[in-house]
Amino acid sequence: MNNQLNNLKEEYLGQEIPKELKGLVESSIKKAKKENRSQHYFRFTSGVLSAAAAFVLIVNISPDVAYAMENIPFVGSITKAVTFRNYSKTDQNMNIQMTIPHIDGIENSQLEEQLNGHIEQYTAQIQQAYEKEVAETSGLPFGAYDTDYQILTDSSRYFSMRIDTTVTKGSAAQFSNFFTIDKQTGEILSLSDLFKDKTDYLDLISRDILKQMAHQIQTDDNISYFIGDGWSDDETFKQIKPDQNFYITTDGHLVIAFDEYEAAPGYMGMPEFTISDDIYMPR
Amino acid sequence: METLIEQAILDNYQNLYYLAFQYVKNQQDAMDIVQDSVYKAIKQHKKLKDREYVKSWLWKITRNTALDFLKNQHCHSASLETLTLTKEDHYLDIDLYQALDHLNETERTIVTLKYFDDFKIEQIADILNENINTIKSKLYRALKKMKIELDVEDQI
Repeated sequence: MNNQLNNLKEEYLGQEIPKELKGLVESSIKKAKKENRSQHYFRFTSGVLSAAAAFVLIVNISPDVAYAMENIPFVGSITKAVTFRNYSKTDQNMNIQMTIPHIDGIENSQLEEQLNGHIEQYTAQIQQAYEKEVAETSGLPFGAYDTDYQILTDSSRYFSMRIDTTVTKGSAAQFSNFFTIDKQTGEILSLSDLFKDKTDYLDLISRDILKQMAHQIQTDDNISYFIGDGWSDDETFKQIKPDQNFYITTDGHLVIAFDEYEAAPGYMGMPEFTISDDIYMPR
Repeated sequence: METLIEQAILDNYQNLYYLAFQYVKNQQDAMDIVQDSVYKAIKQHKKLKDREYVKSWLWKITRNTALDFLKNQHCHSASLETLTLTKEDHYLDIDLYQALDHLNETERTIVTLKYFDDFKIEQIADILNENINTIKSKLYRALKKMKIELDVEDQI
């Protein structure tokens, strides 16, 4: 570069920097980041999957065939049989942290095996997706996978659990897996198990949800779902899937859970709907 | 992109400060502008679609924040286009002051972005929201005013 310009550049970059500047910059960054965190579920993201979520190849493990078990009914708490193990790994530009549940010590050993098998299979998929992302990406932003579980219900009849994963890579994306055990039959439930044969339960449930969505949108300006005008045809929510995430609450209600972006824009997070009694009687 | 932006801010905040300073000519206001711009950049991280543009994007935000600041001030000097430095701006080293003295705001910004902040012409066009040829001709005119002769290899 021209000599004059070089000298000018030196002078320019040699100008005084107030000593407070760095601190002010750092605290501005911190403030903005903090606000972003808490706003995560309330900001419109135009329904486009974050890059992190696009990498994830998690398939919902759906027990479409009910596991026929020896009919060993067991009552009592499963919660105390739930332990967990930690899995974590740090790579150059990402890390993964998983708290993986493990059932140990329920009477029905076959069920115990099946459950743990499910959990291992599902969490292994998450690890695979993580490894894939490590291999395919490099550099900033730093990525993190965080998996944890929660026992939702442990009533006399049902046991429901969810496994949640948050993938952060710049922005964050979440997805969950749910499973519910019928303690009376010792089965891991699929939605169809909850309804009599020949009931078009997918239709009934979906209508109920659509009604609730419409009502919510009407009464609260901040709420939106992928229904009505304004969404493309394949974006619009029309019906739940046969392997839609669901769980049973402590008082026996059926709750349908959606993943991020499944039925609503990102800022809505992961909406859930309690299905009305006339479609599913709590038990 | 948030982490990428954060890193870019930490790498570049001093230059962003120098840029802001050129516009407002005092430390406190320049610091306010940088703080404000940094905050906006992280808050609006979702607006940055392509990581390659992070530096341009930071400069764009900072420049716009500085311009907004000046607009809101009740400073009734001549329009921005003819804003020139005055002798009271003692902060500048003499050579630098003298060299940039005869330039208008746009010319000064273009020179700064190109020779001090190391942007390419295309990036400058993006930051200033002008087309490439406009940037080239303004840069050429600025260098003439500064009486700087470019060697063959440095031609615009």
